[in-house]
Amino acid sequence: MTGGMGSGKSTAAKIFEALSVPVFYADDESKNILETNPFVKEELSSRFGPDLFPEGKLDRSFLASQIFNNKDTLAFVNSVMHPAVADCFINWCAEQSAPYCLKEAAILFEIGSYTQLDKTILVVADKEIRIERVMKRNDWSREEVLARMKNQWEDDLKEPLADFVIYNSEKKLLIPQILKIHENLISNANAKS
Amino acid sequence: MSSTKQSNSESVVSNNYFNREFWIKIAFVAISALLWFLTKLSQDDYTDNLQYQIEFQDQKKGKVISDVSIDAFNIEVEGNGYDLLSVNTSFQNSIVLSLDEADKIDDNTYSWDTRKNLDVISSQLPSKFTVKKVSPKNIIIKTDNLVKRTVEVVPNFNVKLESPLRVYSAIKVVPSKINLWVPSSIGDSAVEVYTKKFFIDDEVGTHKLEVGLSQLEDPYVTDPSEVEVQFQIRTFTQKVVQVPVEVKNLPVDGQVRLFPEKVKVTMNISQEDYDLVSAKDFNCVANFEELDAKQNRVSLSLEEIPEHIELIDWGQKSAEFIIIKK
Repeated sequence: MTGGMGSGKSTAAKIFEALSVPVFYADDESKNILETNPFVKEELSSRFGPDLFPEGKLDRSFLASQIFNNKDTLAFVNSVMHPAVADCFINWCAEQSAPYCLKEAAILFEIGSYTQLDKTILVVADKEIRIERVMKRNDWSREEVLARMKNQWEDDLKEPLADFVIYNSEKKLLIPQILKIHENLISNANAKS
Repeated sequence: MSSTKQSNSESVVSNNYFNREFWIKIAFVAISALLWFLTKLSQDDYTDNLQYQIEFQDQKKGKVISDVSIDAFNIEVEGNGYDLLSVNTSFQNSIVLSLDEADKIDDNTYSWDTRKNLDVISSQLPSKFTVKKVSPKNIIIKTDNLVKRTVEVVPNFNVKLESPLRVYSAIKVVPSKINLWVPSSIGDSAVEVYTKKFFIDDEVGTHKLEVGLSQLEDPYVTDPSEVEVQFQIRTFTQKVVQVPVEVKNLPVDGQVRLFPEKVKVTMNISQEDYDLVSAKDFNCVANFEELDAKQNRVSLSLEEIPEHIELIDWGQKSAEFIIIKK
């Protein structure tokens, strides 16, 4: 499951969790990997130098300053991080016993990792609503939100690639849409088994 | 060519001569008219109708004038032209009457007889005036009994504070209630009295000010006539807390999951209280008794907020939900 900033994918993920669906939060896991995975730490240190892990701890603001508005650096970090996160997800999936499980990630289509998944869910919302949500949530300016949104694909680019789309613009209820997808995924999982 | 030049020169001389003579004549005529006017004004045989506003003094104890049949006298006088001119060009002509000189009709009605009290009126006019006629003959004055009411004192203030300074808590007035004597007809509607306007400006700390009460016409007496206002100015800062939503009146036996389960409350809070206020001091409720079945959303209400904070925003006002029956 993916969606742009402020689309409400975390809320959608929590609703799936309430339906007893295990959810793998890729962004949270990435943060964990950055701190703990020795291979990732070594790769990144060789590129950014000792300033990235002063006293052994990740300097997040330093990393953010390096990748902000720099596509090459961002691509490098992604190339190190995504395989590590993918491995972690595979291991996590093996531990689950539910009919299906979810991976929640900010970017799936952009890096092609959606091809490794059985189905994809895209959470969308009007751009203005998303901007407003992120401004409120993170206390960012409109310009800051827009600068970060630039690194993500527009919804209309992602929609044709998604198997399910959840509209979360406050006009449509989330839960009925999620229940419908949940039923569909359960019946798919049952058919497979 | 020489004859044309001479003719022009004569015309100029003639015009100058005519203008000077003309203006001298005009000046003499004006001076004569002024002297004639001044001489005429000094004569004493002018008659005029003057209007004088009426004011009252010596009001009866425990009473207040509630109505007067007229606002002004028409007085026909004979007098000196200068005095008449001065009275007519004056903006404030009034005659003060004493209620002691009025005849009592009943407990709250008095009649002031202008003919009987002509000397009272004459004594307040320029001495050279002879009063010929005063109308109306009688002035009817209605009074109302003054009653005591205990009313609340409301601070009337103007805040001029630069951010991040704010008034901390409500402004306290000591005493908070005062006694006020008002006409019985409006006695029940008198519930509050305002202080005179005071200003709250940039100075952090506790402030105490003596402030008078707003101007009430005599005999609307207040006791005391001054109060003390107390307030604090503090430096405020912004704080955000995540307040869990409490579920009330769930219609079925089961568990409910709300989305969102917490609301983000943003407030302005004084720096001294920053660590004292937490999410526990708020109570956000999802009351299923007020469920809008068509909307499939439950309304959220922030039922408790701590004192001394300024609420900026508290997130979304409704939540979606899943009820898991037992």
